[in-house]
Amino acid sequence: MTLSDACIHPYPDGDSTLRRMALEAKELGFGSCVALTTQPIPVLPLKLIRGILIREETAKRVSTALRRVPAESGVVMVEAGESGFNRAVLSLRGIHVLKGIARTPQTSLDHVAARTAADHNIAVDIDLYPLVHERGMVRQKVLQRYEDLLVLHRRFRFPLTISSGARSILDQRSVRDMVLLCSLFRMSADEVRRALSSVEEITGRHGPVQVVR
Amino acid sequence: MRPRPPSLRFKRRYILVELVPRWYVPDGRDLYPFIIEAICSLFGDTVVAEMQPAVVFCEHGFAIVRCRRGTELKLGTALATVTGTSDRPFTLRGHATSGTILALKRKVQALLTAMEERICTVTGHTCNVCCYDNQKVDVIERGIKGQHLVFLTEQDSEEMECNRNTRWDMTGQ
Repeated sequence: MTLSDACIHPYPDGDSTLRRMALEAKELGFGSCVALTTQPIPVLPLKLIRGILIREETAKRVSTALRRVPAESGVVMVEAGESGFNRAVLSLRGIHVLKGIARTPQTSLDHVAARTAADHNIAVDIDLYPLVHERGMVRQKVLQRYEDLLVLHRRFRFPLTISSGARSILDQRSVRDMVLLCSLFRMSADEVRRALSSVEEITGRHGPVQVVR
Repeated sequence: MRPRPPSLRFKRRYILVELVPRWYVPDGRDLYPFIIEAICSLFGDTVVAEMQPAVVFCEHGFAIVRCRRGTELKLGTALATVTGTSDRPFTLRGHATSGTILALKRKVQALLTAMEERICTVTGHTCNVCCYDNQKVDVIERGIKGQHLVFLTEQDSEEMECNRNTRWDMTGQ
């Protein structure tokens, strides 16, 4: 079971190079990382997966953007929006992760969207960056959103991913720290480990058709 | 005041944390407000009072933070939210929890890696460079508007050296 940080932003988005972030991630207990970068991925002891983030206003534009996604992209993420947008996006093919759910209104992911995510095996991302960096009301709302998300996850069993959203090595957190941070919204250690290992599961589903005898 | 007998004292737990970046070496008193702010904003004053946190050791890029037994998970969670200030960012990474300071100090000796500081020129700017044993390189550019940090590896610095837009003079000044 490989544990993955589902989103890091290396240089030039952040102040740390991809190699350095990979080195830190390995020391922090991860086996792989999803990096939002356009630079070539070097060969490293840690498995690096190229990610792409689509930020669009409408589901139609997301659909157009999906056609332009490079073939070598391992994980395709879409920035979440309001309820109708999320429902439409979750039924599109080629999407792996719905990201930024903490920044959307409380009703943006309802039971219909949750069922669609489960049917299409699309993960919803838990970004720990606002938990670490925000204070006060903003963090309280993020905790509420994640607790609400967990209720839907336990009912409909759609996959979850956990990301540090790190733009620097100073933002990266260890597996142990992620378990502790997720306990703030009553996510159990088993659920955290399952979420950290779900990147392989969601990316491996588009393989060629195999004959089972 | 006479100290209480051991049976009447509160049981303590000690958490060993690594300060990242390692070259940032604050005093225990400098570190304490960041820890208190993190616990207070996450759990409130009641938990701070219950936890009784204190920084009992801060040397070589490692710190030992004390709390009452039973509150170490909450303290660990709060320590993960310490981010420093905008002009001096740092983070605390938990390594171990123990009932004695001595056990954690032994662990510090095992975790210590050599660090070498140099002064280099990067694109015409004079920077402090910290090179670690495990191929890590931290570049600190200090100017009038504060400091600018770049975290890379030895391989990255070699590639930058080859790049004609970036000139690295690793001979020092």
